[in-house]
Amino acid sequence: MKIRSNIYILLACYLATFLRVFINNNFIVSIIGSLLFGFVIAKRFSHSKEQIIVSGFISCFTSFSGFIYFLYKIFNQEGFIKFIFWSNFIIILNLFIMYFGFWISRKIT
Amino acid sequence: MNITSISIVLFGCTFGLILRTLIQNNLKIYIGFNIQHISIINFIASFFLGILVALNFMNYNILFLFFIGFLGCFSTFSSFIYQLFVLLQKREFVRLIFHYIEVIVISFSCFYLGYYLIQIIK
Repeated sequence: MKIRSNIYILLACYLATFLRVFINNNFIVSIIGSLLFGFVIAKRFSHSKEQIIVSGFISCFTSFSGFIYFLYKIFNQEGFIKFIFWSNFIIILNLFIMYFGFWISRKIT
Repeated sequence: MNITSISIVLFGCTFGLILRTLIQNNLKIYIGFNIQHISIINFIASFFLGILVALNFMNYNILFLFFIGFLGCFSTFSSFIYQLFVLLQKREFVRLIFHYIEVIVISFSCFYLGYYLIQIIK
């Protein structure tokens, strides 16, 4: 059962990676990822299903290194003020989107 | 993307996912305060990213392997947002701001540590 679950996690990870490459925009990817995450955590899935969706799909879909690379480029090209603005904007927006996903999920249930 | 690139991305993905799972399940670090597993993973990923940026690869296969495959699946942005979301739900606003600043500052420090390490070696 555990091997089967691990295979599903791996497959979800592959799917998420190709979706990330296909969308090719870290901002949109992070928004979708946060919305999905919020939606999933409000539901009461079994542990293995949650592992597949959260650890396999959503965690591989969103990328922290992509976020840091984006901030590094902003810091280098546009300076400290824009770096502060964008880092705060992205994180606050994602927090609200996650809350929105959580809220929708609760409303549906 | 051709078959070779897809295989390379899948290889990086698999390695990143396995390493993340291993760290999430086994590594515990306490340095005066608890560092959460996801934060450790993101710090390590930032360090590797710094190395990758400093090496300035022009080879697409290496970028596919490390940046899209390995680092993309190893690091996770949504879990970082979730950590902040949990603190927001508990209404621990001071801890939320502290955690946010801590992750951004340490991640950038790790990034530049990797970056300058390679610059010195070069």
